[in-house]
Amino acid sequence: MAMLLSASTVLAQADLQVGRVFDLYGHSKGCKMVELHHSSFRGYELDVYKSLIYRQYGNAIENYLKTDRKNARKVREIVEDGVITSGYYMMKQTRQGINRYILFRNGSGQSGTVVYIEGALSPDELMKLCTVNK
Amino acid sequence: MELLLDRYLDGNTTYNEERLLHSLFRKVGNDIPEEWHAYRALFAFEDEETGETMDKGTSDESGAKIIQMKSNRKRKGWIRVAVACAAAVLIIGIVPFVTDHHSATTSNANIGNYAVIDGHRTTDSATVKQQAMEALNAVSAHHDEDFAAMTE
Amino acid sequence: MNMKKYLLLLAAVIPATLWAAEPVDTIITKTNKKVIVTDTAGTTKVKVLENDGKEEKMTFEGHYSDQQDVEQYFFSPFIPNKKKGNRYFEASYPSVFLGFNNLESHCLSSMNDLAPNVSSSSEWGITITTFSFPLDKMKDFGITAAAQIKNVHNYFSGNHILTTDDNGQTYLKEDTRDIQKSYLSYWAFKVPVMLEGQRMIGKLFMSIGFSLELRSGEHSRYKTDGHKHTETTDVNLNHVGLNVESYIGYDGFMIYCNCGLTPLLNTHNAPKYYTGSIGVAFKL
Repeated sequence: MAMLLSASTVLAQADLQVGRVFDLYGHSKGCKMVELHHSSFRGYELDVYKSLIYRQYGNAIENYLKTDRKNARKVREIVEDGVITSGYYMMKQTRQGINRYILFRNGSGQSGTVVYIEGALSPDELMKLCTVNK
Repeated sequence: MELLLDRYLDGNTTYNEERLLHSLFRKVGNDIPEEWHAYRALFAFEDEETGETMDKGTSDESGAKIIQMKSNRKRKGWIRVAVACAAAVLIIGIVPFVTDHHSATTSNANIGNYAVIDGHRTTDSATVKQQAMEALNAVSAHHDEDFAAMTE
Repeated sequence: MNMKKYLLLLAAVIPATLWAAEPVDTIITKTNKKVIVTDTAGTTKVKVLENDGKEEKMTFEGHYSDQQDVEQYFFSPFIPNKKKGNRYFEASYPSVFLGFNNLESHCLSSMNDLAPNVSSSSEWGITITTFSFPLDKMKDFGITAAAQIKNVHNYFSGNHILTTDDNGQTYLKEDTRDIQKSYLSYWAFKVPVMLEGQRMIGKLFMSIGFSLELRSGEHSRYKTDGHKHTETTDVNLNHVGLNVESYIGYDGFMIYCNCGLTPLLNTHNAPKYYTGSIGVAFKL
């Protein structure tokens, strides 16, 4: 059963390089990877949630994300002192009504975080999901 | 019935025992183990087939025995192939349906939910959720500030 | 008004004939913002420049086409977000703090090394305002400062009362009366300056640094027969002091400790006391 679900996830990410990021670095030392299916975050239902927090491999991961950026439908980035520090890409749909997003944040040195989300939420809802009130 | 079936599959049954087995399968209907359903279908088919054979062979007792022996040999191989096909049909036809149905109803089940920390995998739901929130918070940190830049 | 509304406004006011193949710059000026829209053969580019009074800086750039929308927001971590203040790195000072404040014989000694004839003492305080300055892009480290006010009561054991004689010499005298309690109290305005590290978006933090104290309003008081008396208001208090401080906490709760690097009283004319305090604090 898990294999069938994993297979469907793989297929959904088959055209994305971010899937390679999780495959290559998810089990590495200094990295934390999470995979959730049909879960709820802050009131929003997500079909797929995958995240990777890494302390190194920043340059390599950035290259994979650049490839996905070229194929994104919508790109939003924060640039600080000429360097892209965070943002998200909204990718093309592979299933009707299900949006795919890649969110990222570059940390100090080679560290950072990448999150992949699949769900029916719109870009505005994604922003609400990702808004933290301090 | 099980003993007779075993002897039948080994090709050791007599003509009368076979007739008895056919008769038993006709009478029990659905009240048999699931794995015998295939045999019942085969016996029903054989009733039709061997009924002709039996008709032809009953006038000559020795001829009936020869026909019976020939049909025994053919039946052994036939049964095995038929059972294998039935099993394949069950696996291909029913399992995916059951799987899909199950996954559709477990919308909040922790199927495939896990975390890998420094190469060590865990499925502890509290740990998985905590790690997920940590990552989401990390990418969320400044969105409220940054993307509000264009609003007034 | 967000980016989409700007574009809709432009579409409404600019005739369709002007959406030509050749690039056309349209400029919209609003208070201290300038929006430049360029339309080129299927791609619309939008730039927003903000004038901070000194120079014009690009804060936004967007490219819109059928294939892809790209929006980039430009920031410098050293320019605070004027609308909401600098919240990139928020200092973790407490709103209120409460703890033990003891008088010790030596600088940076343990809390058990109390000076003679002193007993457990207390302090409480509030933070008036804070300042913070991030040191890295991830906002995990920063320099923080605050303005705090605290009140201290240092109690003396037995029948001892802190007093000052006519020669200006401060000492602990042993009174023959039955003294119910005797203490030194004062107010202090404190300015800590700390190096703070944060994790989990500021929820987990630790800081270490120094604080400058300006002390005033000192009283040596005692209570006997149910009445409170003021022995003296001059105990040769050092009105300026320097401490080493540290905090560790999670979310709105923290534990703090500090040790006086300079003596509380003028050691030429008073006993040698160093302050040491430990307590809990809350951020409301």
